[in-house]
Amino acid sequence: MKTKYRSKKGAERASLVAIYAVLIIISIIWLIPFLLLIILSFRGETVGMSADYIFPKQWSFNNYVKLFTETQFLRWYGNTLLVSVVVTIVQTIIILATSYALSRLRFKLRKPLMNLMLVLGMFPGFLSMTAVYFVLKEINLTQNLFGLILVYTASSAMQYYICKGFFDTIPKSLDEAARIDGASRHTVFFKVILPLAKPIIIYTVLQAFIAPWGEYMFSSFVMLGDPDHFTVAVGMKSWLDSSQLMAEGYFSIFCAAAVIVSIPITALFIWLQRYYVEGITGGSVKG
Amino acid sequence: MKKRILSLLACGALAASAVAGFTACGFDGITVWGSAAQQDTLKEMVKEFKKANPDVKCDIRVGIGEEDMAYSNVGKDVSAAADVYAYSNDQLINLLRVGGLAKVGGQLLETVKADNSEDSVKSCAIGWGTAQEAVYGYPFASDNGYFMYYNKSVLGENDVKSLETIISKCETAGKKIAWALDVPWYVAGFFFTFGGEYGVEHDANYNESNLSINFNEPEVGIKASKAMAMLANSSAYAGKGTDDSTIITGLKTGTTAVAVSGTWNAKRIQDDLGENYGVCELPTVTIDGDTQHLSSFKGYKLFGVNPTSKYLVESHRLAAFLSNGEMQQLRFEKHLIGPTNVAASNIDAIKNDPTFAALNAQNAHAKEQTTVPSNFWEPLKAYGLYIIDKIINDTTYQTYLDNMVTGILKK
Repeated sequence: MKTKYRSKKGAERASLVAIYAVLIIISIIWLIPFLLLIILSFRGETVGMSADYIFPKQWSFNNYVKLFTETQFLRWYGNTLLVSVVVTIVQTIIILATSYALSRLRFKLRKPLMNLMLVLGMFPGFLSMTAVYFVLKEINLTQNLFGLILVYTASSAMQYYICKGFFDTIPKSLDEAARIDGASRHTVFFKVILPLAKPIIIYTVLQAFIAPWGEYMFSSFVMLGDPDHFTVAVGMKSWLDSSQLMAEGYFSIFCAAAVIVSIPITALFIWLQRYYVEGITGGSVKG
Repeated sequence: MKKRILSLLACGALAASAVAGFTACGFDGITVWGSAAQQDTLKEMVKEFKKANPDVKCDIRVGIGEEDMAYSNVGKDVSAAADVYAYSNDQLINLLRVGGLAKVGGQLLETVKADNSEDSVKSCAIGWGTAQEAVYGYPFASDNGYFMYYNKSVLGENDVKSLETIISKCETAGKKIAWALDVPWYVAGFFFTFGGEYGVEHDANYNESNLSINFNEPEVGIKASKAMAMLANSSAYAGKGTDDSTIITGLKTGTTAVAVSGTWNAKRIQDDLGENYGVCELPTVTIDGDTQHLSSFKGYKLFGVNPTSKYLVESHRLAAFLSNGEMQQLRFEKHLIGPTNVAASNIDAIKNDPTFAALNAQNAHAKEQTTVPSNFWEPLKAYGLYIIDKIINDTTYQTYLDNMVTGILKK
């Protein structure tokens, strides 16, 4: 018995070792690009994009200094931050409100509306890019951050489904009890539902922030050629487009910029991480 | 209550950003686009322009638009594009097709023709020398071409005269030759060396009406292929993926001794190599007893004026100013960009500059890069890759050449 027991433990251990080995290898592969980016951003010597060695010959903080003194990066960063923060606030409000309405209220066309939004949401947004651009142009909102905000938030309501799924899991009897006590729909939403929906709020906030933060296609279209209104993605791409800047060693600065760009997202994730997992799975139990 | 205040605040922030957004829009003035690397220089030039032309009252702002991406930038929406923008002359037809270029005329045209080399003005003209002649740009740079950089500690001035010597010297020294045979721009040069020609005719709407190319003629194609293979099969060949950064890194670290590139890398390489900085025209090559000087593409960069501009007259004046001799000289001093202005080219500092001299020497053997067939690049790139990867050889060149030409002529 004893030997059998031990061998089972041994087999378990062996499989654990194998699993962890695989996981470690995968995570190393997955982490290499990020590590490389950070390492390259500290490169002191001027070489191009594809040097045949990894570790810098001189470690230096110079790329970061240059990034903030010689380029318009700070401005682009500010633009992106402004757009992302405003979009996050507006989008979160819209999504929460839509989800609440679709989850709690019963009205005609509720089902068709939900289906319609779901189907429309399946079309990739850039299909309508040209059309949206010309609409923006007609109302004079191209080369303008407000135009970007408008486009990013315009279809927020269509992303209701995960959030609505979560609201469905909150017992309706809670609403009813509050209503009997004289609470209005408004009070129910703010005093009953929202405090219980913290994880899904966090999830919505994260999603809403990440999308405009890294968006390139539409912003490059709208902000064409106007460096004062570039977002980070468009601005950094403009460095890559210029062979002369690349020859001047802008790739290291590009890496430094990428590191700075990733900071808010990383910080937001670390801060909100514990709610995040709960948020996704919470909504998907009942869809 | 607290919640209500919060939501009020959020609404307030929204309203504020909306107001800020609306007031920021509607720029009234001239926008000028240039390369991201030359933004500061361009701003300085605009300041000079305002100083020299106090009667131009409108605002001028500077934006980013790379010369070689002019069509993709301007073509998106001509009426929203810059009033004055830099473009390279191979984009001419595409830009005309979307109605992105205004004709240069009157006194300004006289000045452009008198001041700049004929080739550079021709590069942005339709129907040159005929009654319908129309010029669509203000040339400012002659640097859209390539030549050879080398490390003087490995190769002497006499070694770089022929490709055969370069290859054997580099093989002995264990150094690499960086020559992007997988970039069609460089591949085409080999075909031009042995008499390669291409032609594109356009109808009135600037659509391709008639294409011709002779790259599959044995005298042209087979010889060019052999020349490329000679380079690619050498142990000294640096291989695929040669780009600006591998060239700079290679020359700096000393693994590469020879690199084919253009003026945009000159400053960097000059700084890195110091007294070993060598630069010259492309070498000769001997195939089947036929010795030819290797050819290349040459092109120009120009300022174009957007015909939808609200300030058309001022835009033309600005473009003329940005491309005048003085500004070209300034551009040379700051970015080593070769002038098209005849007077500026003859200034000693520019004429005696080794990089510019190499560019000029190579330009004598180079082929003007006019509008190419729209399917020109991809088949040529594939052909270069076949040679590097040794997929084709003496017996199969002809088949692949025919395929390539069919691909290029496809409508």
